[in-house]
Formats: sequence, structure tokens, C-alpha cells
Amino acid sequence: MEIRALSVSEVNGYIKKALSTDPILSGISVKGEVSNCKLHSSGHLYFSLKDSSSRLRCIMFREAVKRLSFMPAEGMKVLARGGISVYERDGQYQLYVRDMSQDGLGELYEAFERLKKSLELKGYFDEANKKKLPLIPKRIGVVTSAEGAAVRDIITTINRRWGKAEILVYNSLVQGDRAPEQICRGIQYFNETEPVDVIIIGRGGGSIEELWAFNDERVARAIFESIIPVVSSVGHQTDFTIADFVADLRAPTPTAAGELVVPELRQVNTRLTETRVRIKTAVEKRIKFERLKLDRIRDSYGFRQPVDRVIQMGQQADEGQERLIRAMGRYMQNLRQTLDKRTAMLNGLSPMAVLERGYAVVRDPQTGKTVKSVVQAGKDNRLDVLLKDGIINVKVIEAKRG
Amino acid sequence: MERELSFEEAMDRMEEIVALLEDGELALDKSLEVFEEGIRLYRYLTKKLEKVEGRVRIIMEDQDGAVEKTDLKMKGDRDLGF
Repeated sequence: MEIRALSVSEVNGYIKKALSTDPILSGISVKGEVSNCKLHSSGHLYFSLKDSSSRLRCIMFREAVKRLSFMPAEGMKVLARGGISVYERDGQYQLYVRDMSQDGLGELYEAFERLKKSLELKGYFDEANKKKLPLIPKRIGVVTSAEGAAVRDIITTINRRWGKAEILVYNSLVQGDRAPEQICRGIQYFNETEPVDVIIIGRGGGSIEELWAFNDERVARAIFESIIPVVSSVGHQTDFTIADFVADLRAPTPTAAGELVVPELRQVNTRLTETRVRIKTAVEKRIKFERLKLDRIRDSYGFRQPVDRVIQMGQQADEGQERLIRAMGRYMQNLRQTLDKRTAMLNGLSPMAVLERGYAVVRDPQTGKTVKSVVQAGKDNRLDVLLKDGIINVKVIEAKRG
Repeated sequence: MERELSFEEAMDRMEEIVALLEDGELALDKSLEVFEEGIRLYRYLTKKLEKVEGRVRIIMEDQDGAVEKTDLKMKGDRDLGF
């Protein structure tokens, strides 16, 4: 059958109709790797899906893009669902993607999962094996490309925050076939040749293939076997590599790695000062507390009790003294009265008083005794006769009983 | 004198001392002793901080394992000599 010559539009229109009504092509799932990904300002997403030998143009309209739970990026393995149709202006058939998910069965991803599982079983990711980062590293080893943006971010961050660490950058390839070996050498270099307190390994963002060196088993082993703590910082926040899992600490970005390995000098100084103040305050508080305790004890009833007793006894003693003095006074007075009475009595009995009244006392000068009886006066005895104004010596002529 | 404490150890010990003192369970003599230790640690740490200087070196190792080191002069926060 011979048909007339067709216009280009007619051909494209016809193909479009043929493809769009095909029962298979109108609703298919395609798996592949995202490339040439471009999000237009209109919100539509243009990209290609490729595998090792072929590529397929794709478009995803704004409404569908908005429903995506992830942002497609270069090299990402995806599963796209949609229908094939033709963009008539260019005569291009393409997949109109209605929905897309990350392909968990991509080849790289599979290898990644396999390695991850096997290393996990070997205990490479165990928290118990993670080394603690030093609070303040004196020397920091960085294994990365000396020309990359990552190393600059790391150095700048460390110096801005701390500025007191020695940074040793081991220049290494970070992508390509030789990268894993060099990264391992870098880690070993710091472990064996020039010891540092902490090692940062990493690189800036890139496609999954570009980050692949950090999913290498050799790198994983070097990190695991490192005696020095390793911080990994590979790609962007959303990229996770095996190195990140094995590392003692994962930093989402190179800048974050710098922040994680050194403290902020200002903060350390503040913390130091605060600690000093707290120590001082605590000890001052303690001393104050002890002093108060001491005061309380001093003022306590129990402690005052003996003092009270002393005071009371003192008072009693004072009272006693007064009573004693009074009693003594009375006693003395009595004594004096008695004495006066006795003196008066004595005065009455005094021989002198008798002599005053004209009597005489006869005394034996030999014995000094008063002669009270005639028997004491023998004949010719010499006796003294005491009168009120003197003594008469007499001689006994005769003594007769009266 | 015992071996020199690392910064971390000194810092940890200082925090420990704060806790001990704030707890108030220590005997008074002991707490004064610990207080003096804390102040000593503070001086030590401050001095240690003042002493350290930063610098950057680039290490290039070729395939034969020959190492070349370059000092990178730091002139300030932003100008790193790149």
C-alpha cells in the first residue's frame, strides 16, 4: 500500500498515538541510574535513566516531583514508574515519570549492603569498639586531597574554633581506583610514622561513584584497625558510606568534622573559669556552713547549760557568802557580849577588888600559893600579906585553928 | 610528683572535685585539700592552653613511600595560604 508523503508532525503524531496506546508502554516500571538530572525553574525534573549500555530520557512534572520523598541526584539508582510517550516537537520519546523510588537493588547498592552486613557481623560497627575522641587534640591528622575544598573547610574550622592544634594533612586521592589504597596508607602513616591524637578522613560531596572509595573494604579495615580515633566526613549530610559506619565518629560535613574534633577555645576557657568559680563557691559555702554549725552549737541549750550552772552556783556562792558574813557577825557579837559579861563577873571575882575593899591575901612566897588554911602556916614561916597597895612580909608566931 | 595529667584527665578531675565539693560530704580538712588541688589544676590547665601553638603541614607520600612535608603558614583565620 502506497501512502502519500507525510509531514514530520504527522509522523511524530502517529508514533505518539502508537506508543501511547500500547498496553505495555503506557504503564511500566524502569530501573536505572539517574544522570543529567536537572530541576527546571518551572519545577519539572528532567533527567535520563541509564544502565551500562543505554539511556532513556525522562521527565517528571512538578506535581509528581513534589510528592517525591527524596531528591534524585546524579548516579542514584532508581525505580521509575510511568508511561512512554513522545515529545512531538523534538520527535523524542521519553518516559513520563509519575512516581519514583530509590532502587534498593542497584548493583552498587547491593555490594554496599553485602559489605555492610559482613562488616557488621565482624563487629566493625560495634559501639563497644568505638574509640573516644580526645577532648583537646594537640595533633590532628587529616587524610584527604590537599587540593580539595574539604581540607580547607576542616583547617579553617579548626583554626577558627581552636587555633592551637597542629594539623597534618596527608595528601591522598579521594576518588578513583587508587584512592582506597592511598586513604589506607594515610591512616597507617599516622598510626605508624607520625602519631596524631585524632584522624579525619573524608572528601567533599560527589556522586555515589565518586564517594565509592569510602565504601572499600580495605578502607574499612584500616579505620577499624587504627589505634587512633578516626572521624569520617564523606560527601554531604545525606551520604552514608561504610567508612562512616566504621569510623569512631561520623561528621556530616568537613566543617562539622572540624567542629567535632576540637572544642571552641572560648567555651573551654569559659568552662575552666566556671569550674574554678564553682570549686571556690563550694568551698566557701562549706566553710560558711561549718561556721554556722559552730555558732549553732555554741548557742545551743546543751552547750549553754554548764555556763548556766556556773552562773547559778556563783549566785549561790555569793548568797552563801553573805549569809556567812551575817552569821559570822552575829556570832562575833554574841561572843563579845558573853565576853563582856564574863569580864564583869571576872572583875567581881578579882582578888584585887577584895583588896580594894580592905581585905588582905596571904601568900606563901616559897610556893606562890595563897594560904587558905592555918595548917599551911607553920611557926616561924615567912608569909606575904598582900594589901591593896603593897606587901607586908610577916613571920608566923603562932597558928591556931579558929 | 605523679606523671603529668593530660588535659582531659585534669579537666575530668576538676569536674570531679566540683562534684565532691558541691556534694558537701567530705570532711572539712579533706575538702580544703581537694579545693587546693582544684585550684592547682585550674592554673595548670590555663597555662597549658596558653602554651600551645597551631600550625599546618602537608604530607606527600609517593608510591615508593618517600615522604615530602610542606609547612603551611597560617596568617590568620581566613588566609591559610591556599
